[in-house]
Amino acid sequence: MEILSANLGNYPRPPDLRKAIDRFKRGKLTRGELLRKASECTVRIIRLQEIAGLDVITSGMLLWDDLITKFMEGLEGVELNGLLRFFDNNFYYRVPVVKGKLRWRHPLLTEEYGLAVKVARKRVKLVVPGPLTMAYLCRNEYYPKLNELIWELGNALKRELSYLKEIRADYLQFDEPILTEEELKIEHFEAYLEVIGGLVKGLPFKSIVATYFGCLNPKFLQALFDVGIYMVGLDLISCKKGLADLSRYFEGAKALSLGIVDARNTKLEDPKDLATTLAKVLKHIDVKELHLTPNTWLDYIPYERAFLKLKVLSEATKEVRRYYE
Amino acid sequence: MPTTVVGSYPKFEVAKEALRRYRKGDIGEEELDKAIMEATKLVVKDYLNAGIDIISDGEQRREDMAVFFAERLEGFRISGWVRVFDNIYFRKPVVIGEVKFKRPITVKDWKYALAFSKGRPVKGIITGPYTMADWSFNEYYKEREELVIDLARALHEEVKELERAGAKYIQVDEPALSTHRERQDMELAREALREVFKGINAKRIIHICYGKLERLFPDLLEFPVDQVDLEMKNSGYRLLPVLKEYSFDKELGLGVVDVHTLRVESVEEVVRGIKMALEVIGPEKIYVDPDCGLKLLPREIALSKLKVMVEAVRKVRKELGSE
Repeated sequence: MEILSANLGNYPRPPDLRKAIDRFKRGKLTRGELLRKASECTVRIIRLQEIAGLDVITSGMLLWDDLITKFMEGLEGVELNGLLRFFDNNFYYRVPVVKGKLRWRHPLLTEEYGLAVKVARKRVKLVVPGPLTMAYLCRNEYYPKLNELIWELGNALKRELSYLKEIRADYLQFDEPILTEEELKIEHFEAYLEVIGGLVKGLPFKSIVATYFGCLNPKFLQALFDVGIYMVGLDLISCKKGLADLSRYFEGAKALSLGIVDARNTKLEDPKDLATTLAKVLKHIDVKELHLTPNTWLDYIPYERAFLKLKVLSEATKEVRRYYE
Repeated sequence: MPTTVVGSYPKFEVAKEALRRYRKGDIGEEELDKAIMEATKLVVKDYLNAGIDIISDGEQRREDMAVFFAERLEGFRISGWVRVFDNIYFRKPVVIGEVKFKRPITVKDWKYALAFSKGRPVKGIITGPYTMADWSFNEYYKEREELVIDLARALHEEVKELERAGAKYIQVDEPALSTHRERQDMELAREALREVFKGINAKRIIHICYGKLERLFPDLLEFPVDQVDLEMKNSGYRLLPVLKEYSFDKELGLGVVDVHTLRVESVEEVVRGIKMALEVIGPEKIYVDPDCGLKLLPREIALSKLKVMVEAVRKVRKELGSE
């Protein structure tokens, strides 16, 4: 079993980039100047993840305002409306209101992700918002059924992926926190399975579906593997079930990504304690690849803390590896 | 059917400038107080101009609803900047020790507002224990429940101070409740509120907004409060059928203007919203207000929204024969 430390999603925006964005919004910086600044910060954030000791890094997604806005604002047929709370966080996203037929217009992520792959010295994971979560977070005023919206979002992602597949990254992750929500309807999940199965077919990446903020129904886990997902991500911090309960998750799992460092609290974990706890979980795991990650994006802790959290993660991963070997 | 506000009002320049200088150490507490009093006077003037019946102090001193209290209670430090949305960040509190009450936190500004209110009641408003815990990093308490209850005990002291000063309406803001997932969260919040309002005779209000508010029912009906103030406009009044389903019998704070959009609602639009509520609950139990605090809006927009709201209420009252 290969055990790797990986970032799950973004990295908090560095203070200098925050200032640059404010200046851009006030008209004191041109778009070109802002993008140059963002690229410079992206390189720095990649280096920070590498120095922290991660085996798999992300671009940091520094210009993303939240999980879905970056992608949704590029689509025709969508208007961004007021703010709504993002799951159970004191964090808000702009609600996309679907007013007409969705049309993907142009590549949104290739530049940022191309840069990440070019400068990274470690494996790179690309992250995109999952079609099911996007559909649930939209206010749908156009499609008669939510399943149609899930399909259309899948189509839009397919267009984006047709460009992303030129980038030589190792992993492609679909973020689907909605999969931990009790209110998720089974008919939507079934439609989603078809969509996601179609999306990952023939892609040159190892595909990941990341879930967080709660527990994933074990049945969903198996279903995701059945449609061709390589790895599924679970949030072991927010999911309060005991280890014995969690072991049910791992039956039949092929590759897993486990969120073990709390990215929603500043308190630093002890890497040794983490490794000891994980040793108990590892007994139930027989997968070919295991990623250990923060339980969600790093957006919920201050910039200064993110690096320390990743260091804890990489040290814990080394401990676990030692234990396993 | 009185009109009221949820709490915050756009910050006046005099308050912004004074807070900035105070943080830099350029001015002392006395000068800051003077500026906050001045800003509060302007807030109250706007409220009276709009015709609001039950006002607030506009929270001119509060940088953020969690940080403000965390800085004034024992057991907290303030962390680095954490994102709330887009490029907007706040300094999230960190619990590093046992939480305790030190001295009155909101009473001074409440008194400023009362002095200018020309006899209108001023709501005392605090951030609730559940939200304080949820919006802080907990590095001290082993169990979140202990933190929430200690916060409730500390905030109870503040509520007692407000009542002693003469507050007839006391509102506890619990926006974080709208995100709760588990049943035990509601039980915890109810227990905490029981602590906060223990022995309090003023009208007890809870304000909750933005999230899946329907999930709060039916547990919310058991909360030890007289009034539940809910954001309604932003979510298209979709909660009204839920209130009907559960035979909601508390007073309702009815949010009728959206504070997350610059568009000023029309009087007719607000009238429609109030009438929808009237189909579910009697006018004697409705308090009309904005969805949430107005602090993120430009002042002119905030004032216009309040004026529209008051005009709409007057229209409905007239139709009901009570104006």
